[in-house]
Amino acid sequence: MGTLYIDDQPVEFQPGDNVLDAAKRANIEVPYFCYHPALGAVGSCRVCAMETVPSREGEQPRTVMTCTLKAQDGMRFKFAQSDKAPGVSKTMVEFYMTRHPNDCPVCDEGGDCHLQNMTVEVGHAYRRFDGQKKTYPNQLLGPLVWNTANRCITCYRCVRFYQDYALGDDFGAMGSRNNVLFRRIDDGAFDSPFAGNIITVCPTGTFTDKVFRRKYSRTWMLKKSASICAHCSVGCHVEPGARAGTLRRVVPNENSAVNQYFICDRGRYAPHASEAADRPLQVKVGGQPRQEPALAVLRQALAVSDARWGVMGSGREDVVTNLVLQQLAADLNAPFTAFTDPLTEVRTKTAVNLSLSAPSLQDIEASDCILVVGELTEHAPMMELAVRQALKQGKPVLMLHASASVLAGMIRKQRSLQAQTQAPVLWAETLQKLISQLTQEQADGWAALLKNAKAPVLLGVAEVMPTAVIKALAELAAVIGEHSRLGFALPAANSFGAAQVSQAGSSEQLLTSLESGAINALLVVGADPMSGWQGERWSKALAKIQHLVVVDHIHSATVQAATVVVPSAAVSERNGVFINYEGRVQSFAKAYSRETPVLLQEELIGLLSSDARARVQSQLQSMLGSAMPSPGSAGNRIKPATLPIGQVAEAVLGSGTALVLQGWHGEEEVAGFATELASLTPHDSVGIAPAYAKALGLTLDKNSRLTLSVHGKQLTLPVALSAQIAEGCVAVSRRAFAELQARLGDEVKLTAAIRLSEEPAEQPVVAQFTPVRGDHSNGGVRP
Amino acid sequence: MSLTEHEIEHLREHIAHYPEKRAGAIYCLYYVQDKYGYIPRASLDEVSELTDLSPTQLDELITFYTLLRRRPVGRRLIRICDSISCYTRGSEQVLAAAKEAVGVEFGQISRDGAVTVLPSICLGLCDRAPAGLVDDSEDLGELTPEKIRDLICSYAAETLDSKAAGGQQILAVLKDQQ
Repeated sequence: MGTLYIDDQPVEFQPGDNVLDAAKRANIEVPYFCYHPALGAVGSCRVCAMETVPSREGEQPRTVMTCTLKAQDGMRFKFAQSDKAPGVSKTMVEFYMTRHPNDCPVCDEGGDCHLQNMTVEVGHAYRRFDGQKKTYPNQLLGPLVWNTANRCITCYRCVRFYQDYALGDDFGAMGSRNNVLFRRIDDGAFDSPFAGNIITVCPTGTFTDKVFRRKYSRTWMLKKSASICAHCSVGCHVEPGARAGTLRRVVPNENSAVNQYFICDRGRYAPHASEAADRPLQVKVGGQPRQEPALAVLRQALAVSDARWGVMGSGREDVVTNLVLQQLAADLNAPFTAFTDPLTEVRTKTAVNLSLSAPSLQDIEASDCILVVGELTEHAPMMELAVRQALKQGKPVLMLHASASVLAGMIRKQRSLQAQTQAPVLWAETLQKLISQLTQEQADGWAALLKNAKAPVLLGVAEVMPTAVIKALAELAAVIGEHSRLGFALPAANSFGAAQVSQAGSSEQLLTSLESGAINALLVVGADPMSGWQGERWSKALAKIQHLVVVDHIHSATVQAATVVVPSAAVSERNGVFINYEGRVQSFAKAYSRETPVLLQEELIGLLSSDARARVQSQLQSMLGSAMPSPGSAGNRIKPATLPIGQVAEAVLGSGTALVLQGWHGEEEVAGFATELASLTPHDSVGIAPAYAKALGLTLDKNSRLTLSVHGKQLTLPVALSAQIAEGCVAVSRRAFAELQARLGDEVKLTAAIRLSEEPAEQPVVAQFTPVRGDHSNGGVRP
Repeated sequence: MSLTEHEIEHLREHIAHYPEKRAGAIYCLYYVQDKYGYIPRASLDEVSELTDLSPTQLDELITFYTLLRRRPVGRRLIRICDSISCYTRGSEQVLAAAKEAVGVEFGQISRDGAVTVLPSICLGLCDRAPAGLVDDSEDLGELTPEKIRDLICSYAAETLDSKAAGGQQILAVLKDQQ
């Protein structure tokens, strides 16, 4: 804390502020381009100029760049009063505008453009240079980001974000002097899960949102709200923008306490699933559209005389909805669960019980030693971006993983011994070894790093960790000491909340009651049991029943099988409360209403008896405390009582080959329906380490294919050789798991299959934009 | 197109001299350029393996340094300075004459495969402006339109020895162009 003076006006600053930060805090409108609070100052745009006021005799006033000066007590500057500084800014902007096209009226960024604002602010209005403008070729950057190279003012923010902040390496600054272009070496989509942020950091219209382009609206005409990202358990703050009852774009809600400035591409593009052409928007009973209100149809459906009900909530539905469903189940005397897979339920609950000291993203960034178990990037990208910040500062990041992972690749590049591939069944043993090393005095290697760290952070991916590993990681945290923090990436946005409302073994109970015929009707809200881990078992069980009522906003497999379909609101279309991986309760607000009315999940409370309503209220209060956080605020963290967990059989160490999951960063139940994002889904393959293939006596190259057999099911996939896959494992996608009806850790038999053509496959230069589902010719906008 | 095991061994050895692998990138890129006359896309992947820099990061280096190039050039590469000293002494006319003599745009290979002309930033030969540089080694001073025309004609008259180093390479490139 301290005070400096700008134009004789006292300006308070915070520790770590530079002069520009302090001025912005005091609402002094200093122009700037290259500075960004997360990316730091480079002083290259020369626009944030102020003039120093000499404090000693003989000193001359100097023009300085305020972003590069650390704020110090008693500093004095002239800004508006200065004769020189505004001239410097104005001249610099004039230079930028000699090359920048005057296309604001047709530019996507127009009206929401930093360059436009600064140009107006410094008063540059007339172009004196009568030479020609330079033009540059645009590059095709895949389905998510659009490039208009002429608009670039070479502030380098994009590359500073992409390479320096997010540690990407497939996008860079090409050329020198006045011939600089920001490009990838080849056309096509970015590799980084955070590429969309270059749209946000770009102060001009050089990089714009390609999905937004196709359903464009001027940004001041968008309806916006403070919402929460529903596509992983981190719970980033986002701001959806909508118009005419359709979602147009999603941007990070800046300065949020959770994710600060950025979101991942899944968070930015997955919400467009709400505009999928096949989204259910019509109440249907037995395939026939109905005109009655959704709630009336639901009430009618639930009143069928011969039905014995089961109720299913979900980790992607909010806390209140799950509580309402739980009480509805109580009213109907029906079993209730918010999970589709018993194994995931047990793992999630075990992880939630141990998440009481979970680190925030800022804690992770500031940590001096991080241990990651599982492929974090592919499950919780923003959590991994925080890990990258520690990695960038040279802090040790240790990783145990079983399939190919972006983070592991980065760690290996720096220090090859700090990322280890190992089959998940062996992780517990490795962690136990670390624990015994830590309890004995002579710790070395990983144990020493963890022991000597001041703020160690342990992170796990609950979905892929056997329960024993989750417990071992917690034990490790306890052995390291109270200063360590332990957190888990959970399977869905509200998994923490879903765990609070489900009884021990609830999903197994519901499933067996269906299978035994004890119940013959199921109400499903916001879940897709038929395509999850137990998809086949659910499909068989649900095929037998007469009443399957599904409330959802995606055209999921379960919706397709339903007897009654009730369309519900997507997250940006409703209010609600999520609990993130830290136990942070965050509420989100509705940005817009659809033209065709859909069921708002909060209306479901209308199905309850008055007793049940009171129970919901009291439970909500005991769970979340009295004060509900307001949308956009960081919310408060709850520390719930320990959950009862129940039992489930885990995979055991066998002599054969185990199946592990190969995820990718754009993958999630709803995200699969966002056309543009889903078009980047990697082709299915079976990942295997070359050394392990050799040990099995398989001679493989990039044209080989392998046939996988699990429990009599067979699937043939092309081989992806990667040293990042653990010995004793092969890695396949969720789709392949579903096809094989397999579970994580199942044993698989491998046989060589017919090779692909001997000719090496031609690599397409441009990533083909092939919509995987639905018609996208009108950009997903409904006519 | 790929580097031989022997060549890769040599580059590895060279890279080992530096505390960081990426410090050897420029050497590797020059090595590839000396071999092929330019740096083909496939070589970027090879150098990327060796130096732990991605192909894009290597391309950043190549586009920054004017002496590295990603496109094939003729048997002789003539750089003519267009910076301020040479400009005031008439480099514009020299460049125009050179372009006319090769009959193609700057940066392209003349039809007979003999010459590529490139305008260049300051070559450090201001005392002999307008100046030029042939094949990044042989300097030219006090250029005039006549002199550059004569030079280009003399290069065109050189017989193309397919057995000479790089000869096959250029023939292959020209075949591709047709």
